[in-house]
Amino acid sequence: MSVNEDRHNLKTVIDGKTFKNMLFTSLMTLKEQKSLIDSLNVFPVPDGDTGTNMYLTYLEAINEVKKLDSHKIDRMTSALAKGALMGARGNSGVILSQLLRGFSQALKDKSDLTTVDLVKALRKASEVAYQGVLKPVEGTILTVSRKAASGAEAALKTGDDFYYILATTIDYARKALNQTPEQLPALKEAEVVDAGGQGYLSILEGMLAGLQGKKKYHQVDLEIVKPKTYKKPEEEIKYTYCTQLLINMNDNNRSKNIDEIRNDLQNYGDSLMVVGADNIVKIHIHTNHPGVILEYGLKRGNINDIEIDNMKLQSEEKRKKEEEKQRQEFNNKSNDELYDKVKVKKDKGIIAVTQGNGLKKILNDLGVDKVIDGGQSMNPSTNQFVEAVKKLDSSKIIILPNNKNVISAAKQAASLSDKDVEVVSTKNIPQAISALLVFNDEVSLDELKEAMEMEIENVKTVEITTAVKNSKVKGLEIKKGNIIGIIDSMIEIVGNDYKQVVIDLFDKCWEEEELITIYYGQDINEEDAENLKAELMERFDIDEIEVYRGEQPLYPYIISME
Amino acid sequence: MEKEWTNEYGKITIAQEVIAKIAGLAAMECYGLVGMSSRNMQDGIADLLGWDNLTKGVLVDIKDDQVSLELNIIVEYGTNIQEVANNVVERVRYILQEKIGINVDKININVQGVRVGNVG
Repeated sequence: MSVNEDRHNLKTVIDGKTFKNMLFTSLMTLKEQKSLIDSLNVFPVPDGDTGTNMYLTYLEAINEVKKLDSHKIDRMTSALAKGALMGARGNSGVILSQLLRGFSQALKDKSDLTTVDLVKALRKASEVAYQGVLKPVEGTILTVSRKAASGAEAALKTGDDFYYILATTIDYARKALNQTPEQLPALKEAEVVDAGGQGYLSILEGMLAGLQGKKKYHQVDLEIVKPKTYKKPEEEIKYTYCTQLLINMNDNNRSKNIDEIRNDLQNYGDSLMVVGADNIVKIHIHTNHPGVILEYGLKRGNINDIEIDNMKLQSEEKRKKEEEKQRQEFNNKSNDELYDKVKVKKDKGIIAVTQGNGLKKILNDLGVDKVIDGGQSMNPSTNQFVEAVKKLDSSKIIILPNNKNVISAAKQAASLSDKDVEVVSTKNIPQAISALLVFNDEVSLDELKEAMEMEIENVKTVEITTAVKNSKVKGLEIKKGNIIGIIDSMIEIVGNDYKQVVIDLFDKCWEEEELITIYYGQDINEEDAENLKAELMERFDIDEIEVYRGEQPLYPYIISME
Repeated sequence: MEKEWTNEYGKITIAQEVIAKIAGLAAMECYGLVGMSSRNMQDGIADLLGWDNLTKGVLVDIKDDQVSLELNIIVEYGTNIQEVANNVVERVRYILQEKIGINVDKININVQGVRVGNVG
């Protein structure tokens, strides 16, 4: 913006009414920038909510000002500080509240605002903000506020005018902001500037715009907005065709391993998956040239099970479907037909965590869309969940963590995602399986979660594993290498033989349940498992026990009773 | 006690002290937190701890593979203490997950003191 343009009309004092207008405009500016700021958020926790947090904090601050009937600067700024304190959200919100607190402290007993006041207040804001942290990290909103204050001070020396001072302040702030990636490695890595700093800059810019009267705020914009309503814009589809095929490799291509195929194809699109065994390879890719992929397949062998879907069309249809839904059940008939046509996939996706190929296959067969490898002593990271959630087509997703220690990572991923993700806190595989058995794609996500949670209450899980260290639990002396029997996550039996421990466990907790299922681990062969089954059936007079090969590590037997 | 797990190549052990230190450092970077205080609070004095012994303000408890933390913190006067505590929990949980791959079961925050800055 041009500073000179406004110079003919020097402004050295601002009254409360003008200041109020500046505040409202800055709130609007921050609101406009909110999504941008969210997307910059990588520090201190990359959860993409800095913009939203700052906006909501500032909104509360400004609402406090709105309640005032006074137009005295000191009363307005202390209202601002109070509102921000009460409404502070997130790290950036707390910092903003301290900035505003400092700002108001410098303006005690002022009914109007002079340029000198403003410059002092900006400095004080930064100083107070710096006091709030033990180890100030440079390259954040703090740095931007400090440099902005320096800009204001420099400007005051050369011109006693609000337009000029604010414009220079903004200039300094922007320069400081652009340097933040050099100061904070996390920012550089993500190739962004600091989110909080951007927020502060937006507020300053809004103040200037409000002073110039360039923007008018709308009363509507000042209503309380709940954070949940914020939604990221849908990702644009870069590659149109979801292409899948199987290749039966020619003999002379056997040596061509999966990695090589993956390398060959990776430049043709994204979401590439190449899996296979021996001479059959499955390829999944999102590409703009399905023909090229098919040709490639033909070079390697003969191809079958080809599927090519136009995802752009699908996503448009999905949007249409949602619009239609909102329009209620007006002309039901024709819509129903449309729904049938567009219903190309499940409404809800399921992600589950487990180890062992057998269990993975069982889960897949039961409708799990993505199995994440992990479990005891190998917890998947939040990031793995986030990636999995992103990759699934469905926008509503259930996660089954299947381990007590994984639940929190799953929940964190759920809160990070912009899809609807619910975590059903399954602590083991039998709970996951009983939850999957009540899966119903017709009900809402909440209802489904509730149904699953009810169901997992009904299953009793018995596991055996080997103790990795000496310990004492509930009066049981456990030595390293002992076989321990666990009932619903509590250690109940200690022994030295798998079979005997299982029998002891049955003695202890079997309550005439009829549905008994044994999943045997990678260290157990089928014969042993069948022997155990026979023994149990005879000893406890059970009609039928199902036995599955789970191939899970660490737990030789996992048994469910329902 | 230490936290340990095994992968295909061997066993990984992380000492309690390491978890305490990383948690302490992560907390220190949180806005609004201006110090840690000693965990021995019988004398009732919330003493600010320096950098060297910040881990004294962090209590790590490892039981049955579950890691829980207790942080004794001192907060700057004038900040929204509840929100600062929330931010500390969030950041510590995130850093432990990210840096050492530990899912923390529980993080308890004790606000042991409020520091009044030079102004106000």
